[in-house]
Amino acid sequence: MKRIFTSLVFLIIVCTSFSQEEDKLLVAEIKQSTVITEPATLNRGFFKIGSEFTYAVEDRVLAESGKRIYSTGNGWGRSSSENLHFYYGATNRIEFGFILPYKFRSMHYSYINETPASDTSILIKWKTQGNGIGDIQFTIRYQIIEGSKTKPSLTAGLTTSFPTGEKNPTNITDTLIFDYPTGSGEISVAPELTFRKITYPYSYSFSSCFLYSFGCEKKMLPYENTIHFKSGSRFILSCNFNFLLNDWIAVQNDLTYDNKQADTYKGTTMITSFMPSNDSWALIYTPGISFQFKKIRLAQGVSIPIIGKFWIADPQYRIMLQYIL
Amino acid sequence: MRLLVLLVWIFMAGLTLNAQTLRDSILVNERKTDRPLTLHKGQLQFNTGYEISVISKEYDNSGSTVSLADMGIASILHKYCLELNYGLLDFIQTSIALNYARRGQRHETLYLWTTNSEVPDYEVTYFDEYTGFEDIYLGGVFKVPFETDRIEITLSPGISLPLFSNKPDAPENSIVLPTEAQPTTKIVYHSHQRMGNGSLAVKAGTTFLLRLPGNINVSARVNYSGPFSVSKSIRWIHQLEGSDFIYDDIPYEYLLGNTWDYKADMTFPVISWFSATLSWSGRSTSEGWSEKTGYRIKNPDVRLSVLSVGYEIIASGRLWISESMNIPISGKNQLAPFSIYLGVCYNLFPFEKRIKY
Repeated sequence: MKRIFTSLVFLIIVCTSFSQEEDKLLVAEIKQSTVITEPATLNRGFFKIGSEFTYAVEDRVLAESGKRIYSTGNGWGRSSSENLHFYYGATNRIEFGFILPYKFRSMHYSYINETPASDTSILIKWKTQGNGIGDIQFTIRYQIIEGSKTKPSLTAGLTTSFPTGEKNPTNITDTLIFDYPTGSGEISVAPELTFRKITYPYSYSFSSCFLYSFGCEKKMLPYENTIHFKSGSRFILSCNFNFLLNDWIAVQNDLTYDNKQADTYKGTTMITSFMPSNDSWALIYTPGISFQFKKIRLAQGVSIPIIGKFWIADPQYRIMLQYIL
Repeated sequence: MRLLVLLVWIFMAGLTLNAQTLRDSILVNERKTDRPLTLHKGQLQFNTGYEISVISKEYDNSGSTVSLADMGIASILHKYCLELNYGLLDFIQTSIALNYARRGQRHETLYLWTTNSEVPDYEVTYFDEYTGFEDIYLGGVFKVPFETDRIEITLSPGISLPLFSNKPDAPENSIVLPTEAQPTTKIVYHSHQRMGNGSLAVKAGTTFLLRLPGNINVSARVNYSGPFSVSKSIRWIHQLEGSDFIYDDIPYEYLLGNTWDYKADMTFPVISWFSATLSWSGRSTSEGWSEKTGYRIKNPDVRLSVLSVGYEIIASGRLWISESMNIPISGKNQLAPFSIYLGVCYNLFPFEKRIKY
């Protein structure tokens, strides 16, 4: 009996010593992880810096009926932003982030007032543009369930936005020509929860986010008095499916449902007939591609609103460059 | 059941076509700068692309830049491109290309005050919508055989077929008559235009490629395109009867101009799978006329030069991804769009023997 027991112990020891073990990655290899294989939050002591540029035009809208129509009149705008972001892994499960946005926006609108009786024709032009620092954001993310190659991760996050951008119109030439504000003027918080699973060479995730703004006092129009303004709350659900084409190129697919309540001015959803606000929503598909060159990541994508209501219908282009230290 | 069989058949055909062949290794080992001007024998190439153009400027008759945004008529053009190429032999290639585009151009709204009322008596809006397929291109590329691969010269004849009508659909004008609650008469003039030229055109071109030391490629291309004959189209006139617009089409003839387009580019591989390209291209159209206004009027001479920077990434031997940014430099009587092009190119040898494992 003793011999059998000893033989079994030896057999188990030999089997254990010969069994495969999870391969250990070097620090440099972890830093070169792709968007598929990277952990849900940065590893301890890692530092990620990056820049994301977005560009969109405002030409068409998804109307109340859900139909894609051109905006009324000849109103036309461009908006772009350059977001510098910094993330730091405090532990393998906790990550801190800071986002510094620089925004640019321009809007044109014009019409002609003609009075044949007095033989007059006046061209009215509304031309605004604004560029400057937007509202900075701080984030903290914590892996409630720590993910691995085989285990899924569950991550909770909180993003807080502070009103560092200009909230009022500036450089007012007249009621039609002024600089557009680049900030919202409000503090806002956005808790989020993300579930993510890696099944090499695929990864998929589901996340939900709720954005609440606390409101502020600001000028909505030049020469107007300051009023109480509050951005509508947003509820965002998204799912994501990524796959690797080879060791360094990943295709990304995001599907996002974004629901935004109407903004309120002095407690109502309309300040003038020119500034109505509505509850709005959209389903947005974002195909993208991500390249990993060692510690550098270049990613780009186009966000395409598919269906929705009271939403900008034009696609938004985005390109991002990141580096992990 | 029939649909299921069809889907299974398409799936199986897709798998069979995607199976590896011995010739795939040719593409795996080729950088962009190594590729010949024509496809390899048996190589099938799908090119798909999307281009977004921001049309906020144009060049006038003197070549000066005019801001369309300031004029209230800036617009966006979305273009979807599809091209199919097949290498018949190592020095003969056939091509077919078709693009679909869409653009909406809005104009300044006109408020007309005919009485002393507080609100305008008339609100008039103009909107021109351009949509549809461009003319389909069918062509070939013939490579001149040289002993050296440092130099390549190709000839590329082709025709542009008006497969889709360029006759515009009837306008969709509308009028809302005044009421007590809403005293303004609202009129919308909504016209439709097509994207195709609607005319059979012959094309001929040549490309010269020089491979410099350091894996740098320099190429130059010149193409001519001219109409085969006079073409016919229609324009719409309207008349208001009560609150209904009645439309009538007026036929007219036109002759496309002669177009020369040219492109010079330099390509260099930054690393084996990433190549950068710097290009200068242009287009010049002259001659031609139109009787759209009821009189035969010569088309204005048109010219545009564009500077492009772009890159191509070889994701796999078969899949190439490209992107370019195109900036207008100079021109005459032409819109000056700033555009971004995103392209995906897929290659395979469908009729080669498959590798069996």
